Amino acid sequence: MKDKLRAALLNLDVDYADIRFDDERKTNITLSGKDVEQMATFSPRGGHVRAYVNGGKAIASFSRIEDARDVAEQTAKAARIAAAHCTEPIGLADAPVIQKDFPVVSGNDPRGISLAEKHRLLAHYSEIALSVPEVLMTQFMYSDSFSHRTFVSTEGTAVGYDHLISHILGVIVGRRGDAVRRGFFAVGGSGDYGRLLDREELLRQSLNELDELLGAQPVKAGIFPVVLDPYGAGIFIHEAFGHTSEADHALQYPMIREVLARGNEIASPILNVFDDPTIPDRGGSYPIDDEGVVSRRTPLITDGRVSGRLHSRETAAALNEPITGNCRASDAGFGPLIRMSNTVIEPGPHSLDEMIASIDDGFYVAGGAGGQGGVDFTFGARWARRIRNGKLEEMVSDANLSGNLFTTLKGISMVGDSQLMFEYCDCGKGSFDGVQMTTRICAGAPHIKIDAVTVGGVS
Amino acid sequence: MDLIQQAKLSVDQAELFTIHRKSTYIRFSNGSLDLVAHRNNSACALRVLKNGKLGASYGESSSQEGLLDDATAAAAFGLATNFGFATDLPTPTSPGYNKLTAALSAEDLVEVCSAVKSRVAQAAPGAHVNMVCQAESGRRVLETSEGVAAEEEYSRTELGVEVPFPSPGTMIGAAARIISNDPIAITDEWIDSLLEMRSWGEQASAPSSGRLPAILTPYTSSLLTLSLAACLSGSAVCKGVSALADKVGEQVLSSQLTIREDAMYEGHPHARSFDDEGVACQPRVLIEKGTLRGFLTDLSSAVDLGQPSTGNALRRTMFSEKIEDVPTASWLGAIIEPGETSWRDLIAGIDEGILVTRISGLHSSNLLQGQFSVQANGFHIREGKVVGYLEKTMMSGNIFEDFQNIRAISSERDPTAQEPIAVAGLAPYILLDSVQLTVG
Repeated sequence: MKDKLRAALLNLDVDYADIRFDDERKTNITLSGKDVEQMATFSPRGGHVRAYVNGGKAIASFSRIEDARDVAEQTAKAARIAAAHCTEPIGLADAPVIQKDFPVVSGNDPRGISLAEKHRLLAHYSEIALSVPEVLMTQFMYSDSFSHRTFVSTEGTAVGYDHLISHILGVIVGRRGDAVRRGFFAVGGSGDYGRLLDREELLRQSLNELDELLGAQPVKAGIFPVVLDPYGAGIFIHEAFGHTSEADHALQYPMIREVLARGNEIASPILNVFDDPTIPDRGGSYPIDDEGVVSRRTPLITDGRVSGRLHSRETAAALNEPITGNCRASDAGFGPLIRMSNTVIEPGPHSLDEMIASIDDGFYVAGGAGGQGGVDFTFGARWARRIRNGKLEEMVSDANLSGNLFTTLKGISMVGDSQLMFEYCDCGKGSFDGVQMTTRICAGAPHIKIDAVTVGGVS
Repeated sequence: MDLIQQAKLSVDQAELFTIHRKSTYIRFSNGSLDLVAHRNNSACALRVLKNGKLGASYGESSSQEGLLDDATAAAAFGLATNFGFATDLPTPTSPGYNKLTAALSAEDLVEVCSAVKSRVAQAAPGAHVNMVCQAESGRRVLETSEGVAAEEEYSRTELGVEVPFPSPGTMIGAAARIISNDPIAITDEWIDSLLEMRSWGEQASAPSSGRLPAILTPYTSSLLTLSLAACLSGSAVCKGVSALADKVGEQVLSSQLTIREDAMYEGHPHARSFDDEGVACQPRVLIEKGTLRGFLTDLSSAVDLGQPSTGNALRRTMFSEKIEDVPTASWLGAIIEPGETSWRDLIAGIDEGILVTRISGLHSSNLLQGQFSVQANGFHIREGKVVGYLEKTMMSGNIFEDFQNIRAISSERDPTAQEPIAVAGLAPYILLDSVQLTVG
């Protein structure tokens, strides 16, 4: 494959070009109740070309490897059109030339498990959920993906690398009277199939939460101090801060660039945040990104001050900052974008009991029902529990949280002493060919206390 | 031998969906053209029924090796399905195709954006301007072993312009879009409206927490239509989890609201004549003056409801549009009937309220019950005038309560796009009598 890709770029009249081809093998199984809604094993393939000429940039995606040369030539031509109208020439930060392969290693590779066995495991979890009388609807989804990628550039980089991930996601809908509520079950997030096995206890915990949620009253709207569980804290740091740290936003929004300048104090001094694709066996772990830059840990907030942001080679050059290896494509045929990897809040000094005890009137919020990011962020809670006079009390439903990134970061007054890494994350980011959804991403966090958060709910 | 003929030899039924897409996209960041992108690819989905069990496989074309074997192997583990593939041949009319759009080049799109850039620079020197402009065209082909062989072309253009507000630490600004089947035409009125919106963003202004009137722009009508999509889905109705499950014939929304499903509506940017299972699209009223008239079904949920499919199968989820997304019942064209008041008069008639131009976080809400809790971006209105942009404003409630009291609906409508957390169609501005706001 490397030779075919080199041939596609040979003697191309460009300052720089690269080409990537993805060969993927996926399995999707979806059980809707007891019915198989989807059972599929398939092999998407596709390629992507980038060309840079005189400060102009063009990209293209294609399906068939036979088309690679024609597409590369058209892309070089399009880069010239871009150069003619580009008032801020685009450059690339220097990156070492890499000629190496990065094969995936898994002790319990999902590719070695039969379709029948995967189906049996999913049906087992689904049956446990369906055995609860008030559960009306379930959807359990198994997915695994092995992607072999080959990347070649005109600078001489030529690498082959693999991604392997498997996970199970369950959505459980229950009804009691007029109340309809959802529970969630998510396991996996690595190339280790073993993480999907023997997870009945976690599922039963979700079902118990759903049982209590069905009797819960909707939350009343207001502004409250909250303790976020590690899922909530992880979603907050991913949605609100992580996306804002992606340097393409800094280029598009100069006002963000100023606020997030290195050294600026943007958070409480007890907050430390980093992004690290080298953490082993997590959804966002990878050895090299999709523009041939070897992965590395990037500090983002150190003692409450901005200490870095996430880059492609382009944004690193534009902002004159170090490359970080965060330019990734979700799937065959998509171009690479700046994406988080494993984004983590470091543990702090406080116990959960201390955090709860410090609140007279607020909420404990269990996150995990999705979110949307940026300076103005929002995310949904799986459930929340009232805190009164330093004690956890009744569960409430339908809590969504929102706020402004910068005031919320400064409002983090306590950071928990133990951390949890997510097993399942998904994240979408817009690109020219639609939103790139990926599950190859992860967040981790301890509990955190925020002094004031807007909680949306009933009047 | 083509794949369907080959499949007939070894499985009971087969369905092949193929899509060919070609697009050109350009992006201006901060006034400078920083990307020209082309896409030219195809994808196909094969579904088979064997011994009444469903299996599927996917690839980039029907000639890809192993498609039938993979689908047949998958069907071996499938439980019994309750439906068969489409049997009646729809009449493809390509209602959303314009050959002029399909022929647009990168240079044509650059010309459009350069005109906008120059006009913005004239009126607001020093303003940053971000733009994306895209022309897409393609062909959808659906064949089944039961005799359906349908094919139609589509085309679409989109221009999105954003002029960020000047306040430090903001990632919001004045934004406007044009979505059409035809080549983009910029009018002075459109540019003036964008620049007027930018002038509204000179400073922030916070309404007080509590219940206030709210105007939803066409773009934020997804607050209503996305929740309705969840509740009208035949599958949710069958399983008893939809708030509308037993409400046909009842008034569920304001009598001012009439909403039609019409995928063939002229001017609808995602117009089509058959759904992603090869069933002909069927224009009909679903909400008539607030009264529920029916549901949205695909082949599977139609059987569960004991009726023919309404032709609403769509291969996409709330976020993605991948070939492997399972067809599910969805709006293909949510057309909200207009009212009689201009949107500017809606603003002029409000003592204090908000104009909502963007919502975020809707997907986290309990849509099946109509509940919503979203961050609202937009503008604060006082004494009939816009006084600043919204910050830290959360809007929450339930569509089956808050859309019972509609003050007015605008006479103007804009197309809405089929994109994440949104529904394709045509929507007016809707003025809600009041909605709960929590302002941080």
